Amino acid sequence: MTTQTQTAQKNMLVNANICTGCRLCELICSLYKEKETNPAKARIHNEFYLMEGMRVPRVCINCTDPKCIPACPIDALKKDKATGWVVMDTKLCNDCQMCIGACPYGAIRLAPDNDVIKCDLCGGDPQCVTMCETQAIKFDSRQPQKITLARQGMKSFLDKEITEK
Amino acid sequence: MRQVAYVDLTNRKVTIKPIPEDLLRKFLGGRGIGSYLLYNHTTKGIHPLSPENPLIFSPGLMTGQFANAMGRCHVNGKSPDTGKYGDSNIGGAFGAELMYAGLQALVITGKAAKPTYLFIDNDKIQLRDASKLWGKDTFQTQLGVWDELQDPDVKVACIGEAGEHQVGFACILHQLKRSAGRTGQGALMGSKNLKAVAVRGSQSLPVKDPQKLLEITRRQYEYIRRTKIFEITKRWSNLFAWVVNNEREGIVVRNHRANFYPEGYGHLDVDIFLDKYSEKMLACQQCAMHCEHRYEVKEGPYKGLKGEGPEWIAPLHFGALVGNIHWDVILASFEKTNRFGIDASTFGLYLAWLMDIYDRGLIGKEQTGGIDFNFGSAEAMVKLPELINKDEGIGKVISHGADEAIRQLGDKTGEFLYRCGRGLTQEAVNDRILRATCLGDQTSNRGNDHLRGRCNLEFMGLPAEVLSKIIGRPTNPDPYAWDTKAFFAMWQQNLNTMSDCLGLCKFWTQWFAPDLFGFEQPLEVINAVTGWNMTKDELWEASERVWNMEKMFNVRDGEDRRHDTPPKIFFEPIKEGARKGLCLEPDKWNALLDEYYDLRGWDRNGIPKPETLKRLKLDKEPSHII
Repeated sequence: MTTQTQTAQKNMLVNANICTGCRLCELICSLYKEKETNPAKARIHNEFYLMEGMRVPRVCINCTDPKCIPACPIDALKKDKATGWVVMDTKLCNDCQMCIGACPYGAIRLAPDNDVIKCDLCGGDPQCVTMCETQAIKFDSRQPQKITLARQGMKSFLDKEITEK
Repeated sequence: MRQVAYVDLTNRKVTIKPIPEDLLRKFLGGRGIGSYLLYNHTTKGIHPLSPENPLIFSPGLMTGQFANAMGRCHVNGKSPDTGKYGDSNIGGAFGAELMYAGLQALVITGKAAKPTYLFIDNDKIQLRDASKLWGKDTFQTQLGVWDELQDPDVKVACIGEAGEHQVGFACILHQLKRSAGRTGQGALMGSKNLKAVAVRGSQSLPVKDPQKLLEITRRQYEYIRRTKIFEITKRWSNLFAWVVNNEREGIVVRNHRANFYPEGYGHLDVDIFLDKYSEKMLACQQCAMHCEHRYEVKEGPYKGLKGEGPEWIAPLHFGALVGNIHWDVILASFEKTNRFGIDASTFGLYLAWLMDIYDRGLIGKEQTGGIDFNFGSAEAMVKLPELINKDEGIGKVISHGADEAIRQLGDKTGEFLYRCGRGLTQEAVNDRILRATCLGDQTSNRGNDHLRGRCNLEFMGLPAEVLSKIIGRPTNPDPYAWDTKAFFAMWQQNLNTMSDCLGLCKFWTQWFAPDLFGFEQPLEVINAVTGWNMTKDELWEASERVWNMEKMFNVRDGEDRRHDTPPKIFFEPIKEGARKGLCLEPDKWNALLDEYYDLRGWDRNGIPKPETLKRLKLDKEPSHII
C-alpha cells in the first residue's frame, strides 16, 4: 500500500514507450558526474531493442522493495526513509557487483574501470530529465497511477518480447 | 589524442596512428578529415571498385560529445556510381560509437580473400569471418552480428545483397534506416568483401571545460525547442517539406513531365501517414528533435509491414516522381530498399526513368521481365528492389552504372535519364526556378545535392534585411533574381560543410530554417570541448578548405567547368503551371558561375588558383601527415 509519505516523495519515473533513444540523458549524466563524455560511465543507460523499435531507459527507479539491498554483502546500499531513494555508500562499496545481478531493471551498471555505479538522482536535481524532450524519464512525485502507467509501458513490451520468442 | 585506424584487408593488417591536433584544427573531423584522407590515400584515376580505393568512416569532430544533434558520421570513397569524389553522411549512433572506441577515422583498404566483417572493440580491431552473413539483408546482418558477439549494444553498419553485387547505388545501412545513401559507398564496401563494421566503445571523450559545455548545450537546447520548426519537425519529420515544395511547384513529377502533383492531395497528405501508419518517433544519437517515424502498416496487402523513417524522399521519389498515390505502396517499396541496402533516392530516380521510357514505348515487357512499368505501378515499385537485390533481369540492367544501362536499353532512352554534370542522377527537385539553390546544388563536389547546396532560405519570403543579416552580405530575397546569388550559394555550401565536419545534423542549422544554428553556435561548442579559441573566420576558412580539398580530388581526375553544368532539361522552359516559361538562361547561368568561381578563388574553368590553395594551406597536398 502506498502511504502518505511515499506519495509526497519524488522519484524517477520511466516511460519506455515514448523514449526516442537520443542518449542525451547518458551524455549529460557522464559529463556532470565524471567531467568527461562517456555513456559507459553514465548512471542511466539506453537499451536498444532495434528491430522492435524500442529504446528502454535503464535507471534506478528506487523500488519500494529493492532487491539490491539484501544482495549487498556489506550493507553499502540503504533505503533512505525520508526521500525513499536507494542510496549507495560509494566509500563503502567494494564493487563486488552482487547488486547488479539482483536488480531486475538492469539499473545498476559496471563502468569500464570496474566501478559499480548507480543513479543518485544528483542529490534531488537529476540532470538527465532536463534534457529529455519527450519526458520519457521524469522526476516527479510517486503517484500510484503514474507508476502503474510507466510499468505498464515496460511490461507490455517485455511480455510481447517473450511471446514473440 | 584522436586516432586513425588503417585496416588493410588484403594483408589483414591493422595500424593505429594518432592524428596531430593542428591537422584536426585545419580539417575538423567528419567530412573534412575524410576528404583529406581520401585525397592522400588515392592516386589519379584509380578505379572506384579497385582494392586501392579506400573506404573511410569518419565521425564528426563533436560526435559523441554532449552537444546537440552532433552525432553524425561521414563515409568517404571514390564513388562507384559516378567515378568522381564520393561521400555520404550517416546518422544513428554508429559514429559516436567509433568515437568512444577512440577512432576519429577508420580507413579500410584492400580486398578480403573471403567475406569478412570488422569488429572494433575499443583498441582491438578484429577481422572476422562473415561467410554466414553473406547473402543476408541488412536487418538480418545486424541481428547475426549481435548474435555472434552476444551483445546487442554493438553498433553495426553493413551492406545488403545489393552491396555484395556492387550495385552502383548500394548504400551502407545502420539500424533500420540510417544510411550512407548517395554515391554508392555500399558497392565499394561490397567490392572489398566487407559485409559489416561492428563497433563497441567505452572510452571517454575529454572535455576542456565541462561546466561551460553543460551550460552551452543546455542553453542551445532550450532555445531550439522553442522554435517553430522544432515543433513541426518532431511531429512530422521533414515530410512537410514535400508538401511545401509541391505547392510551389518545386518538385519533379513523372520524370520531369510536370512540376506539380495535384493527384497527391487526399492521398499522400502527411497527416494521412501520421494517422494511419506512424506509431512513434525515434531519434539519432544526441538529438532532441527525434524526427524518425516508426511505422506499421495495419491493413491491406502489406499488412504487418514495420519500418522506420520515411523522409520527404519517400513521398517525393516513391510518390510524385513515379506517379504513385498510395502510402502503403511507398512504405512497402521504401522498406525493401532499406532492407536490401539500396539507396532509396537513386532507386526512385531510376524507377521513374524506367517508367518513363516504358510509357514512351522504348522498352517493353520483354525487357522488364513481364512486369508492368506504367507510371504508378505497384508491381514495379515492389518488385524492382528485389530484382536489384538479386542482380537479375531489369534490376541488373540499371545496377551497374547509368552508361551501361543506356547501352543495354538503347541510346534513345538516355535522353530521359536526367543527370548532372558529374554524372549523378538529378534529384527530383525543380532547381531551374531557383538561382542560388541551383548553383549550390550543381556545383556540389559529389554531384547535384540538396544536402550541400540547397538554399532553403531563398524561397521562404524572408525580408531582405533578415536574409542579408544571416548571410552577412546584402542578399536579394527574390528567388528568381540572379544578383547576389553566388555568395548565397557559397555561404550555404560552407555552412553545410561545417555541419558535416562537426557531425551536426542540418535540421539544426540555417540550411533548414532561418532561426536555427549558423556558425556561431557550433563554434561555442568546439571551443568549450577543445579549448582552441577558434574564431568564426577560422571556422569559415576550414569549411572552405574542405570544399577545396574535395574539389582538388575531382580536378586531379580531370574535372573542369563542364562538370558544373545542370541537366539539359533545366535550360528548357517549364511548359505549364504558375511557373510557366521559367528556366535557366545559359548566359545568366554562365555569368553566375563566373561570379561563383571568382568568389571561390577559382579560374574561369573552375580550377582552384594556386594562390587560393596557398591561402587555404592546401598547396602542399598531398602532405601524407596521416
